[in-house]
Amino acid sequence: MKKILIVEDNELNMKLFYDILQFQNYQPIKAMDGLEGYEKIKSENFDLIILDIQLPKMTGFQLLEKLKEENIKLPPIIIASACAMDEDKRKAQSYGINDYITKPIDINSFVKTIKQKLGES
Amino acid sequence: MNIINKSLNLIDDIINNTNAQSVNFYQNVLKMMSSLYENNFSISIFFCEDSNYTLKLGIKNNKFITNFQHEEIFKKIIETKEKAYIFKSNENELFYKNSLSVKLSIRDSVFGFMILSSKEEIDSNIQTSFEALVNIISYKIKDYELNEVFKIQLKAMQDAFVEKEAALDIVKKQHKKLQELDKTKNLFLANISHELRTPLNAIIGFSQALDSKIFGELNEKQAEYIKDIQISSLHLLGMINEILDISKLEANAMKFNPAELNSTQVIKEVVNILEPLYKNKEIDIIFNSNFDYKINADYQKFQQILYNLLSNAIKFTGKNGTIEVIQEVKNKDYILKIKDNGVGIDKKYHNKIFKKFVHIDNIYSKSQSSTGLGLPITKELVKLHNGKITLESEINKGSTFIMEFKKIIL
Repeated sequence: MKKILIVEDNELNMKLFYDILQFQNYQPIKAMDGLEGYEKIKSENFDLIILDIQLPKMTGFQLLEKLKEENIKLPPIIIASACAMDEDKRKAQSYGINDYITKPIDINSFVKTIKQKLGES
Repeated sequence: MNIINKSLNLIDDIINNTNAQSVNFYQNVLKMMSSLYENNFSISIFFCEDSNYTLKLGIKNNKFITNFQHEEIFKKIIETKEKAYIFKSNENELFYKNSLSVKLSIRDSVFGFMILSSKEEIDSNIQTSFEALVNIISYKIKDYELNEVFKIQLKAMQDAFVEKEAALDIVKKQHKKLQELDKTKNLFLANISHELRTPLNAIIGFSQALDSKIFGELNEKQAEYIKDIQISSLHLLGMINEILDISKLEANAMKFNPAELNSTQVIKEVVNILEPLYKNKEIDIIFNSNFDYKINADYQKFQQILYNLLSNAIKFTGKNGTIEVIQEVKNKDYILKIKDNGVGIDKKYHNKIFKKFVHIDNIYSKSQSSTGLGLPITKELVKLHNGKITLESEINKGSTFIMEFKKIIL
């Protein structure tokens, strides 16, 4: 079963992502803030990470910067953010992330993107 | 004549040292004249109003006087047309036996007179000298007056200049403040948009999850309500996006990323997205799916233009109506028309509808809430593509939005 880390601080959104992933037969793991996400990425292996940007303790971009500095090898990442500004999309690209989903997400395309990233479609 | 030189020197002194108002100046001149009293000569000066030559100020017996009504001689001096006037009088405090009056004037404008009084006969030499003196004094006085006027005008101009500078300063400060406020407003709108999207994600996500029946079947009412929730949430999302877009456009923060795309493909996608809305009203959307041109456009923005115009068309078209999407090519220009047979728009609104926050009341829009930003945004997005949008519409016959994009056909 593929392990997917969800870094998301909003409880309801976490629940939504968690349930969808579980239903799709993945093993979702929760991280409720940036720091928790950072620590989990360092200590466990994941097949995919779903990352929010505005997070408490450490923002999504801070997390990416820190992991980059420490040369930690990362699995594919999908950013799911409520921020619809072009600047953030460009910033994500600078970390090599092209999958930037703006909330509210469309479940079907969300699942499609995940499957694509995991090489299942 | 000593007294003539003396009076010239005196008037120079007064002019050079007087910087007060003109009444003071005249009084100084008069005072000066009272000292010009020698054994055989006296010189006195009188000022009068311009138009009717009534005396306004004079000196007599070392005292200022303003009441000249009984001085017959002054009347005669004023009334005579000659510039110089010689008269004899009984010796008194002011005049010796022989007197010569010369009018103070510039050209034909008389403003007073001076009187030279002497115990002896006034010969022609003295008369010439005195006339010269009065002439010089006339010019000096008028020159002084003009100078004063000039100074007042100059001061007024300087004051106005200072005021303008200050006003400019205020405008600059206000402009800066407005720019800051504008920045704050745009940032605020971006934040609001973010804050509203987060809960909307849960609403749309959960209702989609229920709708896709992944957690089990729904009964008829439940299925209907879930659709209602979805439609309302999408409507809310549309409005949030419009607010964000207009703030981006106004802050010139809208990025334009044109690329090669198939316009017919985008139309298909947008029509698919809108399916629940037009199917609900049994509206037909017709377009030529064989139109196969590549255009240079920003995918997201081109999609948004179509979405805005088509969702408007659906909104304002009645049950069983028809909407056409027409694509044409005219020397590298791409023409796109969205035509409906709905309620139409009254001519008087044609110019207004592309402005912000304009709503046109009609039976269809009354039940629909909107930001009034859809068409202004569409217009700006068309403009970003080097295009322009116009409207042809007649009430009850329908509307056609026509867009001409210059040279975007590849």
